[in-house]
Amino acid sequence: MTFVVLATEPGDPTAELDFSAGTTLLDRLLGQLAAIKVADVRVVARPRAAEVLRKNGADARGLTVVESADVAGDLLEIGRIARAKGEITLAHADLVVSDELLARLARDKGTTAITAKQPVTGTRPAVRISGRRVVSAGSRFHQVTDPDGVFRGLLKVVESQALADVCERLTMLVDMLPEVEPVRVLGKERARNLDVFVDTTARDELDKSVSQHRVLGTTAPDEPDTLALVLVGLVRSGVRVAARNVDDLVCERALTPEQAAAAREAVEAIDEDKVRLNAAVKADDGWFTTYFVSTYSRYIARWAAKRGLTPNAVTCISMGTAAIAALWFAEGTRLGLVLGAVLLYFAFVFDCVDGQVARYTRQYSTLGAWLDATFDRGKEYLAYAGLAVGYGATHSGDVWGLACAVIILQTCRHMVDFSFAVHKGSIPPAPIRELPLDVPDDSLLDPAPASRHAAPRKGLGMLAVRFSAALERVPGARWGKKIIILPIGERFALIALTAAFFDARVTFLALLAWGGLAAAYTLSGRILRSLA
Amino acid sequence: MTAATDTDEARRRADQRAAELRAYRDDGPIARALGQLARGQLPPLAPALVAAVLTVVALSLGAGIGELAALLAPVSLLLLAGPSSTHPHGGRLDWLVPPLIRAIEYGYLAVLGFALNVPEPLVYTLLAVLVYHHYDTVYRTRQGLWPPEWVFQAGLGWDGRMLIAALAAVLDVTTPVYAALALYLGVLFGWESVRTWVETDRRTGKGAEIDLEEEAGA
Repeated sequence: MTFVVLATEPGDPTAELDFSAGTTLLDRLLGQLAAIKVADVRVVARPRAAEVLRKNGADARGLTVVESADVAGDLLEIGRIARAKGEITLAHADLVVSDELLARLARDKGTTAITAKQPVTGTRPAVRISGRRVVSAGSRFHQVTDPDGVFRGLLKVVESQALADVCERLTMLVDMLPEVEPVRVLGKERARNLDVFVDTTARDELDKSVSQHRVLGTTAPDEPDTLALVLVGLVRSGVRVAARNVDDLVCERALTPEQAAAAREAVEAIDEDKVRLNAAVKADDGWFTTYFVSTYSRYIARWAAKRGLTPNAVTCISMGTAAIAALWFAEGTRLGLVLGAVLLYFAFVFDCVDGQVARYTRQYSTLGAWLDATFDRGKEYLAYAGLAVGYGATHSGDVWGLACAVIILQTCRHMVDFSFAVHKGSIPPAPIRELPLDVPDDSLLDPAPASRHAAPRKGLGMLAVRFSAALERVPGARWGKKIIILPIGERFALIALTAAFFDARVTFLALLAWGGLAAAYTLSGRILRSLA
Repeated sequence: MTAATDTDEARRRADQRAAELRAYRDDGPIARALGQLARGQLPPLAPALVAAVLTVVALSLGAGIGELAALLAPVSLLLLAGPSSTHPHGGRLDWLVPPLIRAIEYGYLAVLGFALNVPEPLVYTLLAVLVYHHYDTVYRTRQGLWPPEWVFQAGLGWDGRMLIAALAAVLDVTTPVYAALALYLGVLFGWESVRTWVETDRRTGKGAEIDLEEEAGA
């Protein structure tokens, strides 16, 4: 992968500001890139900056310095590099970024911009984000309607051909583009009569409050931001640009020694290990998993990682625990059922831990993913068998019929999930609206007046979609919608609790009742959605 | 994006969907042959629904008046759902077909086994073997590790497995046949799958983050 950094501020390069004693901002960035094995680093620099960089030993630092006199020159060079090298990542040379954020960006598969959901300061490029995608991007020459975030000056581009084309077009255009107000506000009220309303007072107020913030107020570049232009070009030419939020991490330009010091302080204030550990916990887990497992499982994951346990080893521990649980279930006595229930719970905890270890230590493997998924099924279906054996050993009747019904219902529910996912994946995403580069505003993206006044769509399908959307607004309904589908955490909890307090028959009947309800709920919802 | 690339993309997605849903259906040699005859013209959902109703009727009758009605279920399912095996499954509700076929197959094997006094753990074991194969097919196609054609053939498909079970019922050899099926399919699916995954892991090693589990909401 090629990394291109821009040293395009006039005068001495801001990249050579001290980050800490003896280490400049650029040194730090180069060290970080070396750590993630990026060997090819190119600097596009103004003549004065290039001179300083060469004097400071560009060759010894493994830098290729490319001189460029103005923004058009920057774009030309970026386009050339993209055409020659393929996938590239672009950043300002004076960027202070957390290791963790660079690592996350390196793993992103598509074109991704680092953004922050925050008020637009007027000095940073504005963006509007929708569905984790940058819908509209701003520059000194391009306005954003209703922005809800800013671009933080780090951009990974996978579609290098599109980038090269965009740079070529922008190179020719950039000197002719007029400057515009960065923000256009088209609030919901005003959207009715589609009056174009530019709220500069609000922006000035924001600027004032933001500039008082130590870190947020760091950026006020003199030159038009080449990177912002590149982002505008990509977004407007229909490239899908994902918006990766900075989250709790740092991604800031530093233009003065004070700002460099503030950025360093911000970097050092963050416990990146903790951020990484928290991010290792899946965000969209079910209710039981979130409140009864994820509250502490990450500490087991960290402990396991420190002991050098691989994710696959944890998966095997989990499977082994579940196997012992099934053996205790097969005993059929009260003691056996209670011990089995406790062991099954811990098997589930370790099941969550293996994925967390994988994400925390970044050890992903094909075999690991398969082992995790397959053993999950194995654990559950082994527990059913154990319960059925145990019931037969201690009661006169038997519950194998119920066990078979449960395994059939559960598998068919999963098959519905899998098949529906295939169906959903086969519907092409809505095409991205393209915008000309020489139009200052993005009003072509405004909702069409006709569609806003059109009669709402009718039919049972739309009713279901609306009902589901309305449910989202009811507090607690989000968890309700998750709990009703009996996800894996709830299932393991239900098996453990009913087995410990009652017997296998109750377990199977409960699974059938709840699973049946879940099947009815998901099936009806999906059928209605498919027809909508 | 031009209009041409848009239609190419739409076609690519449709082909992918057809291939995946076909793998999820797990058709055997007979169903595939019928599908070739129908040339993908027969829509899959309505016949599968009729077959599901017929299976329920046949099984509830079959338990009372002997095994012949039980034999009718797989034959009717085969005649109804078999010819649609080559259909592109592009209808709005065609994603219901693979789970429907699974429900019929599992339900049939379980009810027949229980009605004819096959040892219950054996019925559960046979189901577990099939379940393993069907989950494995999904996990593999998601990673682009498609099971080779001969696995679907050797695995007999839902059609082959149900017909064998029905014949066994008529010939009154259900228990040994269930045991033989469980053993044969268990070795076949287990060995082929584990070998593929281990080999793939050795070849590719560390990859990107993969999440094979899925339990999405409605």
